[in-house]
Amino acid sequence: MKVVFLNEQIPSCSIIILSESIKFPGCSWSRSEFSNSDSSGTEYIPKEIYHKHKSRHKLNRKLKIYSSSQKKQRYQKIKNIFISNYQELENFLEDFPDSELSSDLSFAINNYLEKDVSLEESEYLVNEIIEQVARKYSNHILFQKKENINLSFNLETKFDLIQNQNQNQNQNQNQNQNQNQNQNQNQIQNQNQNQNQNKIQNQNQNQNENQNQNQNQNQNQNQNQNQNENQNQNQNQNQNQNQNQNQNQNQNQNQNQNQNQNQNQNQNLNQNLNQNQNQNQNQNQNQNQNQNQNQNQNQNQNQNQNQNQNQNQNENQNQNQNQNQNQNQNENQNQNQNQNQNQNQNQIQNQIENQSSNTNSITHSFTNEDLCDDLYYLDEDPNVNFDNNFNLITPPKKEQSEMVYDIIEQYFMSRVGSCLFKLTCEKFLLQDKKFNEKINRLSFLLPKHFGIKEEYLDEKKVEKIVQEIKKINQSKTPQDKLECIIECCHQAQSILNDYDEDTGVDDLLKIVAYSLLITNPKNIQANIYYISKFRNSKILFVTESGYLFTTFVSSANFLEGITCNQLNINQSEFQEKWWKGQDHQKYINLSKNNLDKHFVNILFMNLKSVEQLSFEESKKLFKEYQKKIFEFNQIKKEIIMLNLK
Amino acid sequence: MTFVTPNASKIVILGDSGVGKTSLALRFTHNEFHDLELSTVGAKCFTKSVHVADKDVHFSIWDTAGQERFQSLAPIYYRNSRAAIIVYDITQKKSFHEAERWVDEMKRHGDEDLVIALIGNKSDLNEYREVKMKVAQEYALKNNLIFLETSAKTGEHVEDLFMKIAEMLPSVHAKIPENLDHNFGIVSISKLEEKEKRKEKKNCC
Repeated sequence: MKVVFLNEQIPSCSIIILSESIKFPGCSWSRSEFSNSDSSGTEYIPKEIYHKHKSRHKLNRKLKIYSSSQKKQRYQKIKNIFISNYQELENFLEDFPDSELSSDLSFAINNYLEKDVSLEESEYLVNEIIEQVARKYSNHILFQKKENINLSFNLETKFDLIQNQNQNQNQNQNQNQNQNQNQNQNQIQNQNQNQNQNKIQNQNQNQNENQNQNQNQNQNQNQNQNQNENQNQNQNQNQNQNQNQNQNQNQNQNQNQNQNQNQNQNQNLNQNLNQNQNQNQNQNQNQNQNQNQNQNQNQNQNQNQNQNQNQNQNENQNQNQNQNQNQNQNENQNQNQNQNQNQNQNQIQNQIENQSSNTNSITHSFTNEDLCDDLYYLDEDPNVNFDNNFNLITPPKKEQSEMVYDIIEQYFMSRVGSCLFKLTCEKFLLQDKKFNEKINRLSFLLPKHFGIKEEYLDEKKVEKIVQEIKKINQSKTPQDKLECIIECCHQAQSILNDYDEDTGVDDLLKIVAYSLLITNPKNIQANIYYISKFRNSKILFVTESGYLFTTFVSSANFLEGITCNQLNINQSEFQEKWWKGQDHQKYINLSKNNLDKHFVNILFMNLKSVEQLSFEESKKLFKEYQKKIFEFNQIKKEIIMLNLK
Repeated sequence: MTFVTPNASKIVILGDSGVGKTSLALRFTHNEFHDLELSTVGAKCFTKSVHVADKDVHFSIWDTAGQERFQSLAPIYYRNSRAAIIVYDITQKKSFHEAERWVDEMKRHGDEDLVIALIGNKSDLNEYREVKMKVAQEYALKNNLIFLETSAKTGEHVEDLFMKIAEMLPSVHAKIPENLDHNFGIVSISKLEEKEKRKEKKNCC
């Protein structure tokens, strides 16, 4: 009997089944009772069974009841995975199986890049393109995406979890009982594994049956993408079989040492994933050879021994893999513990190579509970319905379509964004220069001048804000830039929480403006324009992130147009400091006559809007003034000459 | 962090500092009021949904800065808002004049179908009243405004205010066009040209 539990069209369904069986390790529903075999030999789960299954699923739901806010947090988390992984995103979009999304997107991008459009046109174009693509794929992308990332996540975590449990059991049993007993118990445990993972068929049945079924097992396991196990099995079978029993003992001893390391597995899950995947790719050739050998070996040996040995070795080798990961961290410590190291040197080398190449790809860490939670998200959603072909019927929820928009926007802007940002920077070059100049001259301002109470101002938090503001220029896409701004505002809000008094937007604006003054970031106007034009406008207008963005923008505008009337400072003191060490003093020193000095002073003191002038403007003004003085002096001379005559 | 649906309708609260903008929003969204004992933590985007006429109306309430120094920044806040709540303190005549100024500004710069509400807050302090109710009511009638006197402290009329606004909102959710083109880029450029042509035609006429 073949078990193909995955219908490629509805990965979400398969996820649910997987998780269910893991939740109920003792459950004994046989797959034959609700599986229809296809002509091609693959089996799909029909709709009615899916719904039956759903009712069973309610049991689980009772166990875990989520509030809506928790759900939303989870949703946010899933969203974060997609958005922060460029590589993952790109790989996904390129390998997108069913739809023509990748071709559509690349067509759109190329079409856009070829046209060499100006900034004003692209403001309109980019949003149009993203919206069109997002609308077309809002039904599909989310679910396909979830499967691609989360399914693999879950397989790995569940696998490791169960291994840990079984290993612990193995240890106790090995200490108290004989090898034969160990084998039998391992069988039972392996059954649990099989039930839990849905990857391997019931081995009890197969153990007493023909050898051909063993071969089928191996084949099925290969089909089920359980490549890690296959590798391990095949490789183990090539190794010395007589040593297997001894290895089991010794390696179980090693398990004690490895327990702590296995606990670390969960943190290193993402790395595991990539390693394993790459291993599979590298070792496909070896696998094929090994499969042939396996069949011959299975014929010559007792089935029970084979299975137990193999599976024990699977565990051990997985341990070794984990150990090898840790080896990279603690290189020499674990090498002595591994008996199979010499045999697996090639593996290790591959792992290390793959590790080094994959460290950049994913760096998220999740607890196992989080991953379980993610599984249920889809099924709990009452708006998700499937038709007979398991396509989604209901239109996507607004949140979901927003999310799809975000994903596509992020992808699109990661390709096109840097070139667009250059254009905006060019457009705002003068304004930004002016802004930086002004802030430079305002650097004498203290928190008290803004009306911020210094006793509440936590320096560490201010530093964090400054770092976030600096990050804005480093990040590429509008989404990333917006994230920095939001984080900066959140830090400012956390300062407000320490206040003993009523706080409002006024205080938030002051703190953000002050921290902007300290950092004096470059291209701030260009950044603001870039985000406001190329980020999803719906989010900027209504949501909380939009609100925080507007506070940031308005505090920047506040700094740009600041006058001494808007600060808690004397006008004379402000002007003194504003001109201190600046042009004013230079001009006074340059002018030769006392009269000139007097005029300069009067001019600068009387100009009401003098603080609004930039350095260049005031220079121009002064030149004009000098001309007038020159003319005045000439007239004076003439008068004196006339008087003399 | 509160989660806001992007399809919420935005309401902006304007007014002089100290009239109780933040407390009004807090009273509506969380049904809380902090007197002198606890400080209100504002600077947030408040959210709440109301059920009116078989429809769920999501509000996203934007608190604004009241201090005079930040008045020039208000346009950034009230851009794209569906409704504006202009608050004055009935115990301060100055705040009512400020409110009148806000009404003028919103009439000039706001959208055509913007819903404006004039609110006299702190109605529980009736003894210290400086602004007569009749004066404000007449002003509101003249300018076609929603008018209520509320109290964030007791919660009087706060719920009514937002229900009235929800009823007045013209169309809460924008409709999604059914026929979509999937020829990315090409279509949009032609659309762009069409737009420009229309502009030119308008200019010609």
